[in-house]
Amino acid sequence: MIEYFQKKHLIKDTRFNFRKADVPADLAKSVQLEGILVPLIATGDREPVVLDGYRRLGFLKEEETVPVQLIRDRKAALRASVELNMLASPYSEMEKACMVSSVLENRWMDDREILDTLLPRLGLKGQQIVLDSCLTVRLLDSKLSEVLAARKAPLKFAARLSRETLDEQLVLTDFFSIHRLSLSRMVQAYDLLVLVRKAENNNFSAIIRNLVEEKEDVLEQLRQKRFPRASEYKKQLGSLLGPYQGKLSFPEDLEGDAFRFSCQLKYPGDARKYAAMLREISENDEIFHFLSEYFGND
Amino acid sequence: MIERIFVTEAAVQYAYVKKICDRAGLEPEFIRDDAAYRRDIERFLTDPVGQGKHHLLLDVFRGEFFRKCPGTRGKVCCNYYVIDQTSNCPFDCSYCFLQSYLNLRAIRFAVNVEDLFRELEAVFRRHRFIRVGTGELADSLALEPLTGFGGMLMEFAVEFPGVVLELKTKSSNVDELPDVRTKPGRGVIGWTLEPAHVVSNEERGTATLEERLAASSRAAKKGYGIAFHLDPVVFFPGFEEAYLNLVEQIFSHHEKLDWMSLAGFRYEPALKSYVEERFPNSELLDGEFLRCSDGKFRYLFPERIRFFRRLVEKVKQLSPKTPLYFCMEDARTWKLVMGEKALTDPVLTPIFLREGDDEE
Repeated sequence: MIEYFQKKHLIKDTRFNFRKADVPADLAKSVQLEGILVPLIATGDREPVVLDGYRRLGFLKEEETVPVQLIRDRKAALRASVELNMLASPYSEMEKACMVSSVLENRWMDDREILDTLLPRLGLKGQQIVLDSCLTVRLLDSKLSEVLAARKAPLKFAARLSRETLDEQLVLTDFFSIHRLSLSRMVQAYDLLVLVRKAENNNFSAIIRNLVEEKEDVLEQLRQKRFPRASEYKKQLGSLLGPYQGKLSFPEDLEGDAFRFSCQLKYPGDARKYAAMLREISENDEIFHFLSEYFGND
Repeated sequence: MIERIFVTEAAVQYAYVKKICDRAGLEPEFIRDDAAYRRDIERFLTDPVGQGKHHLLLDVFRGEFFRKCPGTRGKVCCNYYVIDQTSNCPFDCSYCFLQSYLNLRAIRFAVNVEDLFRELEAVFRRHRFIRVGTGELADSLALEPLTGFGGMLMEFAVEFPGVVLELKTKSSNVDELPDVRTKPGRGVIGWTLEPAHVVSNEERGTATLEERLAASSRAAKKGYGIAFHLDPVVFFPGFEEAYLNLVEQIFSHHEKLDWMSLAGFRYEPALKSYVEERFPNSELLDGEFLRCSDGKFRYLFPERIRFFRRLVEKVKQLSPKTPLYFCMEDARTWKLVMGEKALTDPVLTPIFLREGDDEE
């Protein structure tokens, strides 16, 4: 049932404002031009608590009247709010985790109800480990949580980071922010940092301090720290085969077939050109030395 | 090891169910099907992979049990056939691909073994020579004290002259297996072996290295051929000496093996998070890996080649007649390690027949 309330009579409880991302510009424009077209969802009796519509409400004055779909049963209200949001503008995984934690902390639902009804509605697997991950994410430092929410980080990654100590989380927050890493680069950087930390028996702060700011890409520097021999091998191969890049196709994996090339013959003259190139490679002393160093003289 | 036994509606009628429950000393819990296990049990587990290994789901399998080992894209195939009667394993190894491969966390055990034997009989009669095993998705003997299945299968298979049945295990459960000394077929027990350091650090619940080697001697006395799989070879500080010592230990127990396989540790990207989350002390991911053309990560190619050469040399020196092969490595690796004629070495012929060579 749709009822009308002045904004000031609606309870805005931040515990139930799950949206972390910035307000989309088109939403602001729409509310300013047309007002609130789709009713807000709220629950409660005399003092309705808003569940859906926080962002839209933000554009209205306290005296303005808004349409509200008041659903007295709070579980039903929550379900309706989730349903609507998942259809219109799905929550990010961090937002979902925030909602699940809040619902459990405020005892709106027990574990079983969350597994059976809330997680599937949120597009998550109704499994205990997913619920546990949602709860773990609460342990994240608030700034790191903001960084992750802004990048729409997946729950699994956020849960991994939340297992780090607060000190390490703070270092990561700065590192991710200073270098403006995208989500995929954040994941790669974290993977590398964890492995380097283990290998050097160090902490993130000391590892990051040793990276050279002006030098090359920080991810590449971490990669070289973590995989020194592989990096060297790739570098040597790169310098030997570089002149032929774009002319011959190389397998990317540097496995046994690294020196088995292929090429496309488009014109009759190509065969002679490539044959000359292959002869050049086979007579290249540097390549010969490289191969014999790594694989012996066979 | 097994803490709960679930029996599906389809499996209830099988007498084998009662036998297993009696041996385990556990009351069966009746459920409709595997979907019910997922819905009512599995999703409430806090460590589904680890806890599922203590759950035995007795079920009926309606598909085909027998298939060719899929191998891996671009790598040399060893022409092995597999029987998928059990999937999943009570042992918990950090490097095990089943962690990210299986979609049911309990150990699923098909009790309709008569159907399996019927299917196998038709297959075995069709082949002059066939090498088959049950160790692809399960440890062949881990549940032997409960199910006795390995012994039953062995008894059946060794009656066929062209059949070589390998039961692959990390257990020491060989004492209840039948004596096969006078049988026309060949029974082989294959052990996955790792240096003691890897066993204690990366394998949970398995028999120790000494127990496995001692079990191999007992099995040999019953007429079984012995195979060892150094798979995965894990690089850790001091790994070279550890594996070379392991080879010495093997050949102090056996003069010649039916076969021996080698494979460096490799992993699909999906395995990584399982290792990190479930095995915080694992050294598995500490090495230097590169992504290969089949999507798996492997140790740096030249380092693999260098070490495999040492390992192969050691095996050839201690037991020249033991057939040695690589699992999931490409032809170039074979040639670089064992020479140009590696793939046509006559010592491999009995175990390496190509598809089509063996059908009558």
